[in-house]
Amino acid sequence: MSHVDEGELTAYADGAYAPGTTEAQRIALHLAECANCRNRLVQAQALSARAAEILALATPDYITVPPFEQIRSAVTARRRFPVIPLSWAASVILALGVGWLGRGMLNEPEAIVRPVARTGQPVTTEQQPQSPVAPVAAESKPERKDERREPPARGEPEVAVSGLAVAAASSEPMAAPPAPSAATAQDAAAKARVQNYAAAQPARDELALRQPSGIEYITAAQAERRGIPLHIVPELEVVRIGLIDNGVRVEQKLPDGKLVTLTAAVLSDAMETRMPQAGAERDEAVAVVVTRGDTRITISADLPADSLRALAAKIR
Amino acid sequence: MSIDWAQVYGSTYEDLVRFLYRKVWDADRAQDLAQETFLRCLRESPHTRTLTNVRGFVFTIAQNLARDEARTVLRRKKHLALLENETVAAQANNVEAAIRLEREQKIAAVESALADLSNRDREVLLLWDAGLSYQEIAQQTGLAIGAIGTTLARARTRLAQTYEEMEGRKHVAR
Repeated sequence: MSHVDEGELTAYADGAYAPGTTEAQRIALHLAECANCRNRLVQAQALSARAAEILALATPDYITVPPFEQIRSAVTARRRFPVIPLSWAASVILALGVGWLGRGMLNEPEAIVRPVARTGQPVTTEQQPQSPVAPVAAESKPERKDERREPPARGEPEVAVSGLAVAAASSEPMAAPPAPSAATAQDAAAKARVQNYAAAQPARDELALRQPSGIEYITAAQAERRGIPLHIVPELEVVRIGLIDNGVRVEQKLPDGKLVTLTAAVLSDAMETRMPQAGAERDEAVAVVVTRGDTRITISADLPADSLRALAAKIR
Repeated sequence: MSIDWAQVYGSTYEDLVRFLYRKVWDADRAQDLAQETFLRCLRESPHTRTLTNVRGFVFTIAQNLARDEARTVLRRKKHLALLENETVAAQANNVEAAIRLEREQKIAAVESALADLSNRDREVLLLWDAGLSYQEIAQQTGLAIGAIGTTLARARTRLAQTYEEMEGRKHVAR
């Protein structure tokens, strides 16, 4: 009769064979007949126990398990940083958009900008530009900056937002909303507004928070338009493309539905310590790293290392 | 099917800390890294909807963190130096200090014995001790499931031998 080899015995002793499976039954049957293998099983069990005992020595004196909510809130807190630029950009666009719509309100901009400040004082009547002259807009900015900060302090952010939007627009009355020159003129305006905007628009922050780490998802066409190179496995379906902190993350799907993630990042010194090691050093990895030019691409999936390496070789 | 991370956290956290401790050999650091591991898991969670081996995923992230840690900090020397420090043990008046020192020396011996294993053998052993199944270990390490048993047998044998040698040597020297 053929005996049970050491690997199988160990697996059997460790309970790796579910009872009822062919392996479990075959081994059990053999053990019933073979005293030698029964002894070896006992030894395997003793060895397993001894190893566990030794490893148990290498344990911290105490382990405190913080409540899970602490982790969840830490994730949220970290996400706040990348969110601010998004709402800032959005506020600029909003300003331009509202400004365009509010171009008919040019006559009384000051009344809106300073809702609770000194009444009257149509200071800006002479400043009201009839044509978009950039220097005029710049001159009026310093004076308005102080006024802009007042309304929020008095707790009227909503009004300040719309007022500022109109004020921003009034300096560029004839400009088309997406004009780049308008954007630079709005810079100071938009920056000062980020705080009120965030305060007045909590829902928007939450929406942005639901996006993982401020990832911007784009289509392949958009990537091409923006000149962003895409490293993919040509034969696999692309699920989505995301722009992340330091590169591009492409998610593809295998025929059996499994997800494959390719993270491409341009090499730089700062990244060295954070990137996973090259595939060659990690035979046991679920991630393989390849280099294409100056880009390091990490491919990961719920697959054995060999399959991953095969996929990695196909990356373009 | 989305992952119940709170549940995964509760059931694997302590094992994860022990796993990390056997890589960085510092209790506080191990707990910091365990926190960091779950932080990253949560950040990645929108991408993990199709994940089947959740614990494998968690431990892979932990391994990466520990590896990065090892590159920047050299903590082992502190522990390994204790192995030779028998004279200090003899001079310890305070019984409590002596016990603590002996415990630290044992830890150092385990560390040394683990370092003696091949990378693969050590990984498999530590993952098993952290509660992962053969299936999970196989998926994570890329080994065939049939090879896990052989690897564990070899790793355990060597660990026990090396550890006992070190402890035996120590007793003889006294």
